[in-house]
Amino acid sequence: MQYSLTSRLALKTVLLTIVLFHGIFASRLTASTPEKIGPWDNVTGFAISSNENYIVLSITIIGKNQLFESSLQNGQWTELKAIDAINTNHGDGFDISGPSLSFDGKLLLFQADFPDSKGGLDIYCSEKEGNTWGSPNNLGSSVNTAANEMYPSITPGLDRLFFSRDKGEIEFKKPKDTPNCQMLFSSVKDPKGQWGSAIPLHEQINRDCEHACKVAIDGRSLYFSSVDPVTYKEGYNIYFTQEILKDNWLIPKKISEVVPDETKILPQFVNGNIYYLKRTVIKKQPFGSIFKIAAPENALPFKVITTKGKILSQADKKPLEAELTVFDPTTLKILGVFKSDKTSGEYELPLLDGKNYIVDIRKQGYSFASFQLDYRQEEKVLSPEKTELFQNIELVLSVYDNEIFRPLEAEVLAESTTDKGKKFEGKMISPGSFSFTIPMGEAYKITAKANWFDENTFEFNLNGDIVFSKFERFLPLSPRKKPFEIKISDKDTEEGLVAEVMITNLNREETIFFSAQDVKDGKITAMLREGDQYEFTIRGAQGYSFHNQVVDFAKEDTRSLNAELVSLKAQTSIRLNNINFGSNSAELSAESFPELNRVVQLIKDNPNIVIEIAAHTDNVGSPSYNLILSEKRAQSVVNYLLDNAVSTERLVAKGYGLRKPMVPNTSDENKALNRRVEFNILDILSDAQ
Amino acid sequence: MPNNAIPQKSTHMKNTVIFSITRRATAILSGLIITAGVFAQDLKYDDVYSQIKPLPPINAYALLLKYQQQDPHFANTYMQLGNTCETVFKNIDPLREFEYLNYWVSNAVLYYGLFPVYLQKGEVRSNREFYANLPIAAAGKKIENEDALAYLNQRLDYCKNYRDTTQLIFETLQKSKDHYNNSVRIFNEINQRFDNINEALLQTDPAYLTQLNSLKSEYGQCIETFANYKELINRFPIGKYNQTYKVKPIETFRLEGLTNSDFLKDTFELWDYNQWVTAYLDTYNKEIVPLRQEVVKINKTFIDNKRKISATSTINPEDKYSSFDEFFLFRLGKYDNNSLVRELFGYLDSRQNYLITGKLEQNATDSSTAAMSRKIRYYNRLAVQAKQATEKLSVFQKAITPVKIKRFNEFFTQQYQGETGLTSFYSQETDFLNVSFNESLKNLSNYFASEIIYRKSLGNASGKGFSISLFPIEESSPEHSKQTYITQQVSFLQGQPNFVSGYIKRSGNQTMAFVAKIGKDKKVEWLREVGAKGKELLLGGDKAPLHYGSENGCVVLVSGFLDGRSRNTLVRLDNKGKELYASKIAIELFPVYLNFDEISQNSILAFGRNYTDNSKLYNNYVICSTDSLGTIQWQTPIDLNGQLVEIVKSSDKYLAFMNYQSYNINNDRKSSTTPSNGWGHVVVELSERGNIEKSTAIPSTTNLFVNRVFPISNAEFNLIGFENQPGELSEKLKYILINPNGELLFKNY
Repeated sequence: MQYSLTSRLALKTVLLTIVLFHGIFASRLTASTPEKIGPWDNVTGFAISSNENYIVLSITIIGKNQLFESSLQNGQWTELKAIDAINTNHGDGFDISGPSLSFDGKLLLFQADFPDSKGGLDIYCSEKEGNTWGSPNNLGSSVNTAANEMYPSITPGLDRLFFSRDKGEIEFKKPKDTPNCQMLFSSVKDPKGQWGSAIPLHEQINRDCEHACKVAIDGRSLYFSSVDPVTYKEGYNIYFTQEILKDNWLIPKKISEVVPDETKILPQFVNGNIYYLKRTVIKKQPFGSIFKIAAPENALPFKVITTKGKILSQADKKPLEAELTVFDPTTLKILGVFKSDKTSGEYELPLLDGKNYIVDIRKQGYSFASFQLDYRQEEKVLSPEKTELFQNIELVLSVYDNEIFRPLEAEVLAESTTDKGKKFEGKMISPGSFSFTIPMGEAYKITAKANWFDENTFEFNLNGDIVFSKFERFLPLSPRKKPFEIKISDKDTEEGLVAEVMITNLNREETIFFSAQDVKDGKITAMLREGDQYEFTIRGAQGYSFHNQVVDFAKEDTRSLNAELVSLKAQTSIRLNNINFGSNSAELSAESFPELNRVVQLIKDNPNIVIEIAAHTDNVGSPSYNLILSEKRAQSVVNYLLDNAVSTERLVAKGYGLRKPMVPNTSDENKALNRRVEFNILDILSDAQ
Repeated sequence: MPNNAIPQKSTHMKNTVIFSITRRATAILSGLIITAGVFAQDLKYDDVYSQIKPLPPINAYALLLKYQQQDPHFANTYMQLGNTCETVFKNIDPLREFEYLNYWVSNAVLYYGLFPVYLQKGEVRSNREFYANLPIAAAGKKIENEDALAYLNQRLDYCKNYRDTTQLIFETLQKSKDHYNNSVRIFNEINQRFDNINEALLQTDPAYLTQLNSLKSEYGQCIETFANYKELINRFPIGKYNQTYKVKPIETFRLEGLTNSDFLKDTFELWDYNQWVTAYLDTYNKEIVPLRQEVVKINKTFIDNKRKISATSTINPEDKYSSFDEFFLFRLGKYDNNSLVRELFGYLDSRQNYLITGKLEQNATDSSTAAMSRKIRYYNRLAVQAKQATEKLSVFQKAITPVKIKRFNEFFTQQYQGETGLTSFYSQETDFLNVSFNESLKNLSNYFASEIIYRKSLGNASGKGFSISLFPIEESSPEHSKQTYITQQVSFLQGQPNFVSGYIKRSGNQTMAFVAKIGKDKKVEWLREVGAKGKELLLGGDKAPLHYGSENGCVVLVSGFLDGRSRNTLVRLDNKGKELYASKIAIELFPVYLNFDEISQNSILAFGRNYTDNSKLYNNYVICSTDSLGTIQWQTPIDLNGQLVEIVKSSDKYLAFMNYQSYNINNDRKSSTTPSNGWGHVVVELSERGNIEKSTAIPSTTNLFVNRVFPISNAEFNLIGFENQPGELSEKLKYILINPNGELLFKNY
């Protein structure tokens, strides 16, 4: 029972296979009338482009083959033009033939006996630069040997090469005047781009006398010319085989009609047609003409979908020549490497239908791009119309104060971690916002420095695959701070007092408030920013004066402040700070208003006090002048207080002129001290009053 | 095609259905796959069997297939083909070349399956030397068909199991990788959508949360499926596969987490999307969601406060209206450091302060006895706050961008109707600030009106046998003909009349200038006739149109008209009426301005030529300064048609505030053309020595006629005017703040 079951399972597989491939064998060859291509009758080899409007021919000139090119314009082939870049690259007299074009037409392979040949004919390639072919390069010793290597053909993905190599004697006698028998080989390119050892194709393909093969757009279908060992008298005919699985080929099928004494070689499948060279010998003189016939239905390549796109430079929208690597998404096996055209940026990816792919786009010094192709469903996911690559990224750096989140003026720098000399300065685009344009391919240290802030830095690694061209990063800087102690005491008793402490940063939006409960033993410590200017306003409890002081940490390295509050008693005098007037004028400066507002508050907080605003001058000018000046100034202060809702009954303005200097008027500093406004408590009224 | 030959029917086949299918299958497979040697000479199985062992499996396979084509009925060929296929597939990388492997496993199953089809009775025993390379256990002394079939079943089981297992493993790994690829794709989409991580956090919406969940789920499934895969390969080791992965944290948005991984490498790295999403959602839920709620709440507070403030007639300055704490800005700035919300709330806060100031008691219509300076200082404060609110509104408007709106999309959409709504809000608020400020100014306007009413109501000051009006009497007024003492100017000290100057009508249309000190209860303390020395009466007589009074006395400018020229004398009197000096001023123009600096004792005067009848409009201005004895220190002509309003000493310069119809000052020419013969205002800056430094016209697209200038501090001057000359109090006031450089700080028009 077990055996029967197993057998049935096996047979089911077989049945599926039958159905799958039945069509191939059911169909018959469909012959069409061969159509001659071009006027040429002395062709020894040819390669036609995938769009069928460009051809490269090898033609014998004085016993040596040379390469020529022609284009199809208005249905006519243009006059042949020698490809001198190849023909004469090593001088004259070399035999160059067997041309073959890559799918994208950018690579021309051929055989030649150039001086750097490994022996006899070797296979070379030349890349198209603009409209001209570049210098030929020998494919190397994995492919080329002391024997003749000829008739190359490369897959669209440039990952597999087919070619012919001379072979020795054969077991049958091929017809007279037919080309020499050769053996077909293939070589696979490794992931590093090197060709692997050439391996002969299966012996069912290499039956004894093959000439040359060309691989079709699917990279899996081979068209080759061969002499059948059984019907060898028919001479060379065209055969077709297909690799249905790795190293597993279909039995080759003859797909050309047998015409006596007609030699058909160098078949090439393009767009449903098979181009071939019909070779005849008349009076020992060989003639070769190119023909095409429609490919039979049972000898077509696998269905290929050619997706197109364009690769451009993001900066200037100019086309880029980039490498497109196609992967199997599951195994990440490379399925082909393609290039976009240098002049147009365009690329075409001919890939087998029914599968999905990942395509990576890379160009040295440029960003990375990747997209997926999915041909598994009816709805195909094709490549994007255009892909833009970039060389530099833009890094927009926001440098800000990490406490108040306001932008900072900073010095910003991007420095390569490998090449210390490579530095880029950020360009300020708006306050606190800096833009860097940095080339890729290096790691950078991004640094921001600002006065009185700790430097901050981060690593920005632009090695590897960079997908995005714009990055936004935040680089908050921490202000450097120091502890600052505020000591609050009674001026007379020196005992610690509780008070409200308001610390206002005059440089930026920072306000620190300590309530009376926060103050312990008359002390409170605040962490304040180095380099900034702070105003300290200490508002004592009722019955005490206030204290106001500005400390500029950029100018003074002080760590504490003593606020001596005066107990508000009759005859107490408090000097007001920052009360300024115009020169020889009683006009209050705007800077005086905050201090005056504090006085207003103090008077409101202590409703029983009656105060005198006393103004004093230095000794510059006459006593009478100074007296009037001081009177007017005192009155200005009083007017301000009155304007701010202080009752007139509680205020007296008094000018003392130069009569009561604090210090001798012996220096400018002393004179400045003597120019002052004081707040004198004349009386403290009882509640009844 | 020789390979299409159909093999002969086996006499040993018992199941004819299977057989017929199998026969065809064999033929087709042979045709499909390249085989060797149909053209070569016949092979002998002995040779084939002896060659297959040393040959590489793929070559052995070709050789066996060649023989199979020659003799498709020999069962051992199929056993050997099956065995060879088994050897081939065991050497295939099962995961990198799964398709290839599957092909060879199927081949093995197929060939093993064909063995019994062609097996003939006693065939194994008779051909046992061809089974020697296979580990077939013989039940008896020699192997029989049954032994071979038993072995075959084992192989079939093995192959089937290998195929199924490999398929399961392959598909499990593929699933894991598919999930990972989906994670990479989703993460790429996220990175594509947002420029930075904060932008992503702030713009998180339900659709994006779904995407994040998908990312987490895909990654989770990748890990889970990979664990399944690991379990499978531990149970069914294949191809030495035992991959492990390392998770890599995604630290830099847009730089990391964007690339695929090769799951077939021994060790590969996976971006830790789980950790990224978890951390992301943690931040989102703990910080962004509450932040959004807070934004809505604060906005509501502002709206409620505005409603409360609007409903209140007067606000006590001690009343507190909440807005937002400073830490809110920290919380906001951490993610949105150039936030539109910040600018919106900055404006709303500023507007709130402005509204509160507008409702302070100083703005209430109060009596004329309130000090003018107090009133002016209050409006200065209000204007400064209106200015701040306007500036904040402007900052807010400039910050309106689609990107910034998106960060609090729900809030801005629901509360402000998105970008369009915000733009409308800006326009509405601009109008609101203007309208509300102008509304507040009505009280100032009323105050001015009441001040005039108050002054008019003061009546007369009485002297011994005469009375003097405490309000200026115009010549065109009916009162002029009734009175002997014609008041031209009244000065006040602390709200009370202090001095009156004017002229006394005499016979023959002659006049004598006078100045009178007004004491308590509007009593004339003393009256002095002041004029040219020697009592010389001038044509038209002397008048005292201007004086400056203080508690220490007064300065009077006496002016008469003789021979078509004005003759002017500056007279200084002390508080008792004693003349301290009388100084002729050699400027033969009509006096239009007088001010006295009590500190320096210097006077500043201005004269002009009246250029329209019965108007106070002058041209050919001359401004001069006198010293403490009335001697001219300097004089400066100013070519302006219009009216001098005020001259203010500010630090080391003088600023003359002048309404103009046209002027040409230091080649700075200007005409007020809107409408023609309209009015503009210019601030002329003079040095301490009287040199004209510059002139700065106050920008206005409509007429501007300034009536009053109030110095607020050394940094600000308040100008109050109207659109029409001379200005009607019922008109909307034009309120202007400028700095000493004449630069506009605020205007309400």
